[in-house]
Amino acid sequence: MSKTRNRLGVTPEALAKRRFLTRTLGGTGALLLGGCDKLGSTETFKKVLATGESLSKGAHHLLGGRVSMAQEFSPADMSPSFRGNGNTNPASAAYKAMAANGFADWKLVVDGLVEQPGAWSLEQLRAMPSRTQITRHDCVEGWSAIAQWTGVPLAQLLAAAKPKPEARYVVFHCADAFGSAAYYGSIDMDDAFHPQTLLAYTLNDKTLPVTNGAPLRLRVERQLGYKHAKYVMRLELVDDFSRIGGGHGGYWEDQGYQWYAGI
Amino acid sequence: MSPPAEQPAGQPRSYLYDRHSLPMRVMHWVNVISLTVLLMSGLMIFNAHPSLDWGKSSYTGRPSVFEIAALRTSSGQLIGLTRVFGHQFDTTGVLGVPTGPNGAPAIIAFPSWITIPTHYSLAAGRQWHFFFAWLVAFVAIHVFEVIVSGLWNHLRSMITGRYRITEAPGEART
Repeated sequence: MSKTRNRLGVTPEALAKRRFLTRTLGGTGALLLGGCDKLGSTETFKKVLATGESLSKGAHHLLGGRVSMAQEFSPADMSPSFRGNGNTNPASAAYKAMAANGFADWKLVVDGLVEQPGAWSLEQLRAMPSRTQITRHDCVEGWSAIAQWTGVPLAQLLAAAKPKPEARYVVFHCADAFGSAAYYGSIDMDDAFHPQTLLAYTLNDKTLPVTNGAPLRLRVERQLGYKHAKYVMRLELVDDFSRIGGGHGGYWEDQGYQWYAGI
Repeated sequence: MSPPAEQPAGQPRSYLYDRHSLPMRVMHWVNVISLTVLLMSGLMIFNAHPSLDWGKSSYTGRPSVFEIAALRTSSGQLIGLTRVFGHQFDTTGVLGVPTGPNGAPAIIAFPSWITIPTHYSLAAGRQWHFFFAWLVAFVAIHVFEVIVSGLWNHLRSMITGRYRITEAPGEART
């Protein structure tokens, strides 16, 4: 009897056996996993699980200190290209018009709990003291890429805007959106004043492309990729972010991801 | 616990004694649950980017050490592939393209019956993973228990299998 094999040499009998094994194991697992799924969907248990995030944050601060530096790399380590992930081309007409004009009309608004609210053009930001760093972007999904960023340290801009003492977070309002939900994110003042935290306008010696967040994106090197807001339009200093968006401090945080995404 | 005083001659005797203390039993079961949850929620996290790379970043030009992928042949058939150190295996039905709960092929690295949660959710998988990772940190308490309850005796028994029992004077050894 000749056995028909598929392209990679697996017979239908072998496939049937795999299916049987999978289903037997699957049946047992489903009972236990069904319980886990049910447990995981209750609000109380979600709160219990979320204590892991507070413990991680506390341990990071304890072990690394508040100004521990992210690793920096040499030009030889740079990835051949820097992947664009999430939104790579904001759909709004206002953004498209600004992009068509080379962001000449774009201004970064800084407001909220600051003594000196204002708006900075790209030209003004480029004229401020800058920092260049080669760092690794670690995505929550599990991939990473090394690239060189140049931008104005957020601390510089905050020094100009003068945060009020009650300001606890910097909220980044962005031009991109997932459906009708605008992208936004937030970091605390430790990360905002960290020397490696940049508002970057240059990627690998070239003007920041639209794919990676033109004209300005956040680099907050001690945290995972989803905290690095792209297409930044406005910084708002707040003492509490529960009234912004879904109330969890960012677009991905509203989808259930941790607010503290320290690496 | 000492054996019952009266022994009918020639009868095999059986009695229960305290083999594992309560803290040890609690710690062991916490670990059993935690390691199971860590594995299963870890597979969910892996499903977000089913590839393990070697080097300073994922884009070093080197092939992945371990990778699970799904591909569709020109005839439209879905094939699940697993690559380990450059060797490729057809894992259709289990990895890459597992058979879903409804019997239809699903496009996901590890099948839903081995991940927590069973539906794809990187966010929820991470919440489970990091909470139970902290429970495993209680291994420090376990090590402390081992130390205070007779470190050398425990270590010897872990290696040679022989554990020293010291009996009070007058307690008969039978």
